[in-house]
Order: sequence, then structure tokens, then C-alpha cells
Amino acid sequence: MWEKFEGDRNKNGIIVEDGRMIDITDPKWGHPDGRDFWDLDPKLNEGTAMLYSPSVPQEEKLAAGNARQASYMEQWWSTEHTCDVEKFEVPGCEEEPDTPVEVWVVKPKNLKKRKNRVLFYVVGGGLTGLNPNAYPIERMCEEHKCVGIVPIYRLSWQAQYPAAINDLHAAYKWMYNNADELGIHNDKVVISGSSTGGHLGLAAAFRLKRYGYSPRGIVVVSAQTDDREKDGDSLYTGMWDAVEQHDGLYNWLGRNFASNRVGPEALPNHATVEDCIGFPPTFMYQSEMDPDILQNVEFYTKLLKAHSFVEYHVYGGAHHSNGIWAVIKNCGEPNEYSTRASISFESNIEDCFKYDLRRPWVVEDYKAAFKKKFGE
Amino acid sequence: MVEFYDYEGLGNIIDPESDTKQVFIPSPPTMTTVKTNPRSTILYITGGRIVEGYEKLEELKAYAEENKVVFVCPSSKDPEEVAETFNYIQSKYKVLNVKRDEIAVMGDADTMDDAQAVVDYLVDECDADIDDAEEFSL
Repeated sequence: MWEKFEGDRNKNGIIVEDGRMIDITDPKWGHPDGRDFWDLDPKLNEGTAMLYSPSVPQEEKLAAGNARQASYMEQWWSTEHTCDVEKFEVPGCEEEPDTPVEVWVVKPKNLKKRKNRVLFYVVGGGLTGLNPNAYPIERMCEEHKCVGIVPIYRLSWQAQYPAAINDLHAAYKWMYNNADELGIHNDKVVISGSSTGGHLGLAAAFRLKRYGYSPRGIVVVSAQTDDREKDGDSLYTGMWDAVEQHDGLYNWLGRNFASNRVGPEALPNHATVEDCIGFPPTFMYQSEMDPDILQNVEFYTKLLKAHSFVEYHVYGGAHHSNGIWAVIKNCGEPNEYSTRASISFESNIEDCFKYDLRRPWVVEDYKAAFKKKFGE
Repeated sequence: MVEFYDYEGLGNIIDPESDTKQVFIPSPPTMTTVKTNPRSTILYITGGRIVEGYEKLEELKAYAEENKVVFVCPSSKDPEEVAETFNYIQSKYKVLNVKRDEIAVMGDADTMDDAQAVVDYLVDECDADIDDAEEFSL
């Protein structure tokens, strides 16, 4: 048994044979400017870990999860905000019409009178917690002069896949259909999010594509792209490591975990190249030690092969929640290192708003090529 | 020097001389001249008033030179026709040496409603990210 797993509740029952894990908890692995809080005591994470642990009964998860969500929401609504935030209950999507979804509309003070840009922001949290206080939603809306749409999707201990995707779909559809009332331009929507926010943003984009929606771009950080582990990655232990990701996604997917029978609406790298044709412009920011880093690269290559506009930024000596992301996802104290990453990230969002980077002709070219090859 | 010229029969442009510099293209090795410091644009809605012989043309040229701004003055004030000018700027912004996303729509006191109608049309139909129209005064 790997020594670091001793006493860590989340690793109970996990077998790691000799030589199968790399301990990166020593800050020597990190970029020198991003080593603050390189590793935290796993006990600090027990409140989250129990919510996806297979050994915790469902009733216990529901009680603890609901209590924690209530405290996050209480904190959010009792905090003074720089933007106006309004809560709506919107109808469910076509695939789950009877389940309404809570959606927040975040309006900074510097908006135009109408036809504003939209940041469709998906809060992260390993599908176990949805803590809006931890993400720079208002700052981003102010900087990009856009309306924020924040879906309050269901978490893995509330409902498994595809519940969260259905919720994002419902929120997007409602936003799209109520553009004038919301003062937005429904063809200027950029999807963003961190970690699970990135995962769900990318996965939901496949759902949206199936229903004919075309976001302006997707700019995500630390997105999980696959639940299927591969030899050569998923082998380290440390902050948001391979086991945590494994359990987090296992809790969400249940029997569909690591299955090729579910597609990219579950995890983006389940996509084939064909699935990716017509995918929105995509900008991915990842860490060297993200547990599914190789699958992230693979997903990137699929988007390349599908001729989507795509950029992939991976930071060496970084893990899922270290200092490089201090500005982008509020983890740690900002410095020159994290500001550098943030400038690039934010300029990608701005580019998606300013320029139409979508490539609709690719879809038409593929159709023409298909017809030429196989006939009408 | 400030140039004044017709663009594609859609109107006239008041274009102060751009800064330039010599750059080296590494592969294949080539020296070439490029325009630098792209300018912002005023899309000036007057209904075709800005033509050769316009009484304030020299003042406009001086303003353009001093403020490093390009006036694009469509002959029409019909939003759909002005949209052709907008699309011209979007496709030729490198040649014009302007910032494609820094376009201010302006009008005179008697054309402000037309200028705002242009803004509304460009925002709705042309993917424009522009602010409300403002009145221009020298």
C-alpha cells in the first residue's frame, strides 16, 4: 500500500500496488512561483471526499451535501455584491421537461442598455459542491462587460448523469429564448468554468450542438475530460489526484463509469473526431498533474482533426489547484505567475466576444466530402 | 498628410498617414514595410455630406490627424447600406490600419436618430460590438 494513503478516508479500499503511484506532495515538484499551498492535509478535504466516497451511505451524503450547499448559498446571498444578481426558476430541457432549474443572472453596472455579451459560467466543485463564492464570476462579468448566466445544476449526490447536463441545457435554452428580456445577445455567449465547470461546459456543448445551439466559444480551466484511466497518467497522489477524480466521476456516472456506451455529453473525450465536427472554438488551460492530462491532450487532438478553432495551454509544475490558478479560479494569493496565466485566459474570452472564431464552413465541407465519397 | 478618397463607391474616407516600420520576415528572408499603430474609426453618419468641397473638410482632416482617427463617411444613412461600410471595415481593417473593434458611430445634430438606427442595426444584424451613437462636434 502506498504510504501516503494511510489514514486518508477517501482512499479506503483503493489498492495501489508497488510502483504504481508517484507521490508529488513535496513542493519540489511545483513551479517555484506556484508552490504555496502545494499540498494540503487531506483531512481538510474530508467534507468533500465523503460526498463522493463509495463507502458513505447515500442518506449521509444527502444530509451533509444539503447542509453544505445551504451554507454556501447563505454566504452568497448575505454577501454584498458588486453586480446585481437575480434568481430565476426556469423550465427543464426537452430531455427532462418536468425538472425546473435555478439560474442566476449576474448583471454588472457597466452593461449596455441591450444586446449584451453573455458569460455562461459553470461553477466547479468536483460535482460534489457548488460554491459560487469561490469563483470570480462578478469580476469576470465586470471585466468583459457581459451578463453572467450561472446555472445551479444538480450535484452527483443529488442526481447522476445526465442530470447536470440537462440542467445546463435548460439554462442555456431559457437564456437563448429570453434574450430580449435579459438584455443579451444570444449569439454572443461564451461558456467558461473551472474544473467540473470546465468539464460540464465542454460536455454540455456537445448537447447544445445536438440541439442546434452554437456558443461563441468555450474557455475553461482544469476541465476533466475523461473518466477512463490510461496507462501513463492518473498515477500521482496529491491535490485532486487520480483517486479523487476517479471517485468523483464514479459517483456521478454510477454503472456508466468508464463505459464507452456513454458519449461526450458525459465526458468530452468520449467524443469521436466526427462528434467534434462543428464544435465551438475552444481554449483549454490545464496542469501537468491533472489526473487525466493525457486524455485532455487526446481531446485537443480530436478538435484539431475536426478543424475546430482550438488552443491548448498546459502549465508545467502545476496541479489542479496550485498557485498558477490564483486569479483564474481564486485559489491562493495572486502573483506575477498567476497573473500571467490569467491575462492569457481572459484575453481568450475577450477574443471569443470580439471575433467570430466559429468555422461553420467546416460542417458544410464535411457534408460535401461525405456526399462525394458515398453519394447522396 | 491626410488622404481623402472614395471606398468602393460607398462613401469617403479621411485617412491620416499611418506610422510605418521596416520588418524582417525570417522565412524566407525578406524585408518589408508594415503599417503600425492602428487607429480607431469614426463611422460618421451624415447622409453623404462629406464630399470633396465640403466646407469643413479641412477641419475634419486636421481633427483626424491630431487625434489619430480615421473617418469613414458613408454616402447613405440607411442602416442596411451602412452595414456594407461596416463589413468593408471588418474585412479591410489591416489595409486601412484601423482597429476593427474600435468603431464609434457618430452623427451630426440632425442625423443622430439615423446614427442610432445604424448602431441598432449593426448590433442586431452584423455581430457588431459597439456603443450607442454620439454626436460629433469639431
